[in-house]
Amino acid sequence: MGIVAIGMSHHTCPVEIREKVAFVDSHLTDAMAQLKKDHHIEESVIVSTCNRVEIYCFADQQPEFTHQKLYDFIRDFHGLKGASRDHFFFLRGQETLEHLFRVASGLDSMVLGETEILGQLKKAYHHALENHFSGKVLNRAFQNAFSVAKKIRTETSIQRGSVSVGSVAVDLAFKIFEDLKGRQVMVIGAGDTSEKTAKALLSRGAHSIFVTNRSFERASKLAKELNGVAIHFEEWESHSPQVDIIISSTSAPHYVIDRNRLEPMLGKRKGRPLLLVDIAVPRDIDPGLCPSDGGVFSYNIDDLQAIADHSMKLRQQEVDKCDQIIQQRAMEVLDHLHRGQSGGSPHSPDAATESSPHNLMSSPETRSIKS
Amino acid sequence: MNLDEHGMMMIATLIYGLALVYSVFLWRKGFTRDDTINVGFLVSGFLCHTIALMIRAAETQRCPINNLFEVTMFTAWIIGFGFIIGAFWSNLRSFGVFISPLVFSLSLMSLFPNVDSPVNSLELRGWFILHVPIILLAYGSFAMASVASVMYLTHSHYLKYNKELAFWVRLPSISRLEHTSIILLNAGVALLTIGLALGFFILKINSGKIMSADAKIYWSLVVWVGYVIVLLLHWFSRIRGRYFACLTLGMFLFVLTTFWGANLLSDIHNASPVP
Repeated sequence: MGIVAIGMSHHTCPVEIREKVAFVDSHLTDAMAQLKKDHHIEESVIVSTCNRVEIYCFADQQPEFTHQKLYDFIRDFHGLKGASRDHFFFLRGQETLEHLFRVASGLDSMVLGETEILGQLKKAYHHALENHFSGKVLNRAFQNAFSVAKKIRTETSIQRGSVSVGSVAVDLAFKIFEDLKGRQVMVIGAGDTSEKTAKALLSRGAHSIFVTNRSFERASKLAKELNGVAIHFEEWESHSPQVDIIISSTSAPHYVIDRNRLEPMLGKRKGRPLLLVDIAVPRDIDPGLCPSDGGVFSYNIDDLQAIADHSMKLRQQEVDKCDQIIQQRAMEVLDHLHRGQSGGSPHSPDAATESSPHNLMSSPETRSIKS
Repeated sequence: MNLDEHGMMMIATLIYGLALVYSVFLWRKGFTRDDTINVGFLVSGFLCHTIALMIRAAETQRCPINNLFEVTMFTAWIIGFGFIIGAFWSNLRSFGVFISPLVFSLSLMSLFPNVDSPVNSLELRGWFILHVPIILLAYGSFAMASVASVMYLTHSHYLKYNKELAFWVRLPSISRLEHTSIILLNAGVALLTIGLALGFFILKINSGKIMSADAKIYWSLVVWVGYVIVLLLHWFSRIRGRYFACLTLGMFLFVLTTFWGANLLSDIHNASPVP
């Protein structure tokens, strides 16, 4: 008996498979109810995000037996006939806890150290808790997962820096402007990265956005999406004195912002700082104009990518430290659960004679996603 | 070592020296390291410094601003006080790296031999008691404004020329630094205006004339006009950013390099020794 997990993630299978086994929110209660009623799984939490589908369980039965039941359940629930076991990972005992803690801390995420997964994990747990599918064992496991994630966040540098071009640009904006409240942004060229960067700036408080593109239709579409204002490409210079941040990502073969265009703009800005973010290749902003110009700070895609790469390297250096914290806590939780069982758990009054922390540990056959 | 005001000042100077050494380390690391140790040194030094001032005030039964030892010690204390306020009220802890050379140098200068000359306390009463500290507070504000300007120039340099390191630098945003500098300059000019007005008033009481041909008075007026021009240029958006920071720093360097000379050339600002 013990705590087990089954799942698939971006590490084990492509999105074409993951999307077939994803649980939509409206089916979660039904799925957990089936697990309890039909498969005698006492406690369960289903985590279903774009990058992973995982079921954490506690059942009074052999882990191998529970794994098979869960695998069959997923296939039946989603009506899958040909889903291979190779796409799934099966965990039990301490490695289940370690995996859960790694997921909560963002160590198993596509972007190392990201925090969005913690919110998704909390949502999944609260859903199970509210519907009485999570009990003493999973409550302890998940609450410890949240506390480990917090500990890792505060005691290591796993979230240090920014690892995407957009977030690096936002952080640099904060180094120039104290905050982004009231700051106006202009997007030149309606590309994907400029859209993401503009969204990141808006989410951190930027005031409004002008969007310009050679195709006014595309500019209008993006402006609508960003809740901004579309302007004709020929008119962008007349709006630039009001703007504090310019993100440029056109496919123009020449510089869109050069000295001739910038100088009149700077004259009207009265010395206010201007952040230029050039994410175009070939570059849109003349690289020679900035160092000598007072309030102009310019970054191209290589500058931003170098910072993002350095952040990622720093985060990767922290993984071992995080794993030590996780292993330590997983052992403590497991020990606590075992002592709870020895004292007479509501799940298993006779568990003291049947289980020990060692037989809650993984068997050699168990496949771990860490490999 | 006696734990009188000189002894306490020596301890404070020693601790400020440690802060300076640590500041050099932080500077060399590109301001990417945590500055808690530096803040700790500065706060400890400031506490000893405050005790030294209190001992002196208790001994002389007056505000300790009457000879070069006291004036230098008081000016350094104002800068330290400004740092404490900024660090704990407005989270401008990184100022510590930049003020530690300033407070260390001033504290060291106050310990030079023959600086603590006896003065005639009869001359140091009435409006004079307000005139001197207000002027010193003004120079303290100018010093802090120049520190903010150095920080602005440093951070701006990183953001332009060392972009990867700039991302990790733990300095306030350049907009905040410019804003802080303007506030301190405004405060400094306001205090200097009040201090100078009090000076003219004291002159009128003592000699019946509002103006006197004195080097320190001319020097103070030049400083006042200089700072007012800097503020007006900023106000009318003629200079911003790097140029404003350079001008603010330049003005303070002028004050720093000419202050003692103007004092020595002045007849009425050199308190007469005890007969």
